Amino acid sequence: MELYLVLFLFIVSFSWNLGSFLIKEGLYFTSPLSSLFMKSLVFFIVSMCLLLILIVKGRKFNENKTKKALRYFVIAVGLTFFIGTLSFVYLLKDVEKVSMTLFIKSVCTLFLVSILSYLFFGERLNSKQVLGILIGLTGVSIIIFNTNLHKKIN
Amino acid sequence: MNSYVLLLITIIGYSLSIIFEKKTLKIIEPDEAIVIKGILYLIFWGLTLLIIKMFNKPIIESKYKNYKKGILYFIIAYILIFAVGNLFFYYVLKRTNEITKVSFTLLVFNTINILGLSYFLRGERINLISIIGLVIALTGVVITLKN
Repeated sequence: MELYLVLFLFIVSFSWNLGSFLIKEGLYFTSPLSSLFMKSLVFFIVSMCLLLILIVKGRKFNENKTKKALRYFVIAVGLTFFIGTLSFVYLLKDVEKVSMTLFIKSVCTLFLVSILSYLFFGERLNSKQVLGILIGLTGVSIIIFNTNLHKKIN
Repeated sequence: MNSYVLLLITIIGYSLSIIFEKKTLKIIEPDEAIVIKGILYLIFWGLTLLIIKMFNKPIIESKYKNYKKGILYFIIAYILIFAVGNLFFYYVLKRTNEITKVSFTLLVFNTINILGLSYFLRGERINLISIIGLVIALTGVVITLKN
């Protein structure tokens, strides 16, 4: 992978994580539902800007493909919106140790996606990968049993 | 609700959505997906608003006197996440097929950023046992991704 792509990945990671910390700060001043509203609004505005750019560039949209994709995408976005994001903002409101919360979330999501990819796409997991998941979950368990998510310092 | 239950629901929700996003991205381009995602978010918010109104619940309770400050934090946060993070991420995905390397690099950067930001912005401290757990978890990720 080229160096500039690695740098871009750092920007991606920094933006996502700084974003999560800012959401936590915002939740000291207002409700989780208002966070969900702002997310919808910002995402909509940005996506409309992107749509405008695509139209100016002369991009044609394939109606049949879009319809076909919507069957899966409505479920995907529904899961993100009603389950992922909603529980995530309430979780952020609840916890004080944001660092470990975000770490557990990112590691466990990676492992669960590997397991779900096996179930949904038949992507085989070899014995070393299963061992890796077990070791990873052991690490996460150690963190969970030794961390109080409601205290900044412990 | 218990924080760990919320964490579990969050992980399940996001992981399942990634699976369906994978299925979607086999059919349409990522930038088209972003456009549709924005529209769907607004529709789902409309549905949520309808449910909230049905139960007569306010979006922002009166106890939040300084809510505008919170809203400002959210705007900056979501612009960072969506307009900067997601667009750069799709840009990288378009230019490389090394998904394993991308996942691993991202996880390492995530760990560094999470620890750095929480230390400097929030004054969070983690104990030695948690650091050991963190190293073991990362080892597990390396083994999974390398194989």
